[in-house]
Amino acid sequence: MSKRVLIVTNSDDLHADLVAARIESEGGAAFRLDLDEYPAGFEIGFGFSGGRWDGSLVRTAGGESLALQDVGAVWMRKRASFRYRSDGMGAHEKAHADAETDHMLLGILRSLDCRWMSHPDAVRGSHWKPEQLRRAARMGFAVPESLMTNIRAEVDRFSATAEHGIVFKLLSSMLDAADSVGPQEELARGVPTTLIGPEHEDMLDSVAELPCFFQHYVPKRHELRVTVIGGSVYAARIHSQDDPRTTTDWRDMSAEIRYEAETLPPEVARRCLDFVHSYGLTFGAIDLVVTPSGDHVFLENNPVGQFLFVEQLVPELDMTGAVARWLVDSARS
Amino acid sequence: MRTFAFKLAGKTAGTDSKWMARDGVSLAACTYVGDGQYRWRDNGYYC
Repeated sequence: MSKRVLIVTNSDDLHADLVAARIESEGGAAFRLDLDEYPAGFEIGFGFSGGRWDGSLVRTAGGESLALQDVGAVWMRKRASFRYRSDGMGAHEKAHADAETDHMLLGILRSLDCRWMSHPDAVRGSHWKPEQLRRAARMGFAVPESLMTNIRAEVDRFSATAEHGIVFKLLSSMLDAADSVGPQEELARGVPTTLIGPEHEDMLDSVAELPCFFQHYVPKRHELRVTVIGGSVYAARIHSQDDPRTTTDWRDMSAEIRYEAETLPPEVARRCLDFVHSYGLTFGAIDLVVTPSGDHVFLENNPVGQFLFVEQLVPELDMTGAVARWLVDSARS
Repeated sequence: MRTFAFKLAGKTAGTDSKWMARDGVSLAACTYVGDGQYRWRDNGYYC
């Protein structure tokens, strides 16, 4: 019997817009739950009886409803701040309301007998970058030498051993941190991975304030974005070395570097699949470097990474369709 | 600013970078909303 696909995300999520449309064109049915409209924009009634949870969500605007027992697959996309019907809550009351809402919603979803892309436990368990490096190395990937420290002298020693210099890299998102403060208090939106040079000398003593993450810079022939969707691999070659703005971090999109489809060596493709599946994930977006000598070096895996920016530039990598088909097939099974 | 990350961010603030956004597609943290504008809140707990 075909059930529905529940998409949990926020109202800004372009990926969800496009995948929801593809789910419909693939013969499935999607119900979108935007967390920035939840719980204010829904009528919620769940009851536990006869050994299971039952009930439904009804979207106040339009009246579309979703019965719990009709959910066959859940696509966990992006989080958002919950919205309530009143603006009058104090900070403590709001914090408690958030905790209650989170517990109720995630608790009820976890009780469903369905398939996930990906289960919240798998996502949460897989996003720790230091652990990713250890796991990647154990699975046969080359991994850059790395350092976490609040000791300036350690940074200098680490740098002295690096033939091609060291990079500073964030382990978490400045934007996520900004969500917990008011907009007037937001200082920055992010920092790209940065090659440390003489211009940073006068700033490096500040590692004493907060431990920082550094890696040896890995020389690149090009980079790869490898997206795992279910049991399939979609790899894109990113010619990051063609423009000085993207040599260290290809995410500066002002540089219109080339993207193209890549066929991975079978052992690398297998390793990417095994890495993602080892966490119980059904989706992952892995960043690899290909060195001038052809080695594949693991940088990180993003368990809920973006893929539209690749698909737009490499249309033959139909990842929107692949995600939609996986969800529709899962909801049918 | 006291931490290295925010000092680094301060050093590059004000530059006309389109970091993480290109041609109507979203990357790690933004969504194109038209007229050259990007919404910077397509982020999330699970990024």
